[in-house]
Amino acid sequence: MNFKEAAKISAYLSKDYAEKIFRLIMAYQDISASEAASRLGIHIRTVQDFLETMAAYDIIKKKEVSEKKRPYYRYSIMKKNIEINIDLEKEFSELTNNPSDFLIKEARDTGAKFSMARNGEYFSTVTIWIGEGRKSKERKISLTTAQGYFLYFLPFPDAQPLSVDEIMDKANINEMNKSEILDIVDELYNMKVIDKV
Amino acid sequence: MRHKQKPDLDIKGILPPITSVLIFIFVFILWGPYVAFNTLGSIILLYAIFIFIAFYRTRHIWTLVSVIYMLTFSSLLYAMAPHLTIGYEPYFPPHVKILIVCTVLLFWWLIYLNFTRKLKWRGRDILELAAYHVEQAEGSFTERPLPTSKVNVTKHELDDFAHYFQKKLLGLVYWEDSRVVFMPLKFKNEYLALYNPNYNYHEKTWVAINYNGNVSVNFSKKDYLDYWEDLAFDALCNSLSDVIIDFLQLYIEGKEVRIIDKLDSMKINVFT
Repeated sequence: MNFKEAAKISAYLSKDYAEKIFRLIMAYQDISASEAASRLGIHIRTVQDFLETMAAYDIIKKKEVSEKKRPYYRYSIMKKNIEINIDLEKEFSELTNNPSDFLIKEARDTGAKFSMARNGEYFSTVTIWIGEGRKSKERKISLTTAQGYFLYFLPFPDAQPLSVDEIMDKANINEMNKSEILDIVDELYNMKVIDKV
Repeated sequence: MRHKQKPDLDIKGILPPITSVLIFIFVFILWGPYVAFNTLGSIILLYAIFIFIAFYRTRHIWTLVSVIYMLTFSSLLYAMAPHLTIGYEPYFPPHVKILIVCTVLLFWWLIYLNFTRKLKWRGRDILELAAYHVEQAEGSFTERPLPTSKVNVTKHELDDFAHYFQKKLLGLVYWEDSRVVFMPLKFKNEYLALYNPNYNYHEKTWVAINYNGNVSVNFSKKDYLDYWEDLAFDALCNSLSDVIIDFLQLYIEGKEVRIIDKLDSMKINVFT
């Protein structure tokens, strides 16, 4: 299951009528959307959306029946255990497999402001102004200690660019912090504070 | 020799004497010479206190001459006041005449100390020295510190040099938990730095050396724009760092006179 699927299911499960609908599904052999809606006093469209979503994720099964003029669906329980399982490592595999064989340095005339930490040896935040003139908005990013040390050693605009590994080495940053370093490099690159060479 | 920094045409430095004279004239017109001289004497006494604070902070011995001059001048004004009446020729008793002589002698001593750069804050000289070999480069400025190099120095040597740095008016020093911050101070910028308790030196130009020997540099935008041209910023920061490290090494070797020689060789105007 990926994040989007989990988010969609969770959104429906968090509704206040979710528990009531599932109670009905468990109590009945099968039930139609209109029967459930009338039993619970909820709008039929709401119940229909809920049941269709649960069916899409195989939590509920649906069967088409043609008892009256128009065919309709009847719903019954399929899984008695609802599990939301996200493999975060697989989901965010690009964090550890992200290539870092490029050189970086600070971009020219960014206007970004780096604020020092108390001990004056690394940065605690970076503030970037997005937009032009009066419409510009301030975006302030709080940095982790590793990120703060990394950016402290970021080459100046007119200096020789260095690789991420070289800067981490200079700043004496542990390899296990690399993914958060790459994350901030990516973010600052997108905000045009860092140049990749 | 064309300096890389623009000449300092700021009138901040002469605002206090101008203000004092204006107050003196105003009071004289309204209340006569007795009140005017006493008022001016009080203003000069206040200056003496401020200058003493500067001496207390830096332990710069020649600043004491300024303090003594201000105290003498203030005493002279107080002593003269009762003997001044409009329409009558003043007669000064002997102690007033002695004070006049002392004030004049101290004044000329101060002029001599000024011309020999003994009372000059050397921040401008340091920044000129840092820029000496740095080439022009557009768009390279960035407002953040740069870690530059590492020095082999003990805490004791660093603290000693820090006291020397202040004592010779090279700038002010701020002691933090794990490092010492050297802030070159330009003439006419000392008022805020010395007397403002909320002075934020982090935004100014400084070189910090931590007790592990790591050196970092910060260059303020104001000081950077004080150069005629945009200089290669990375090179400028490294150069400033090298200047301070060089001074530190000379101090440790007992050649502190060479520090002053290097600064004097910049031939910065004594009044800037």
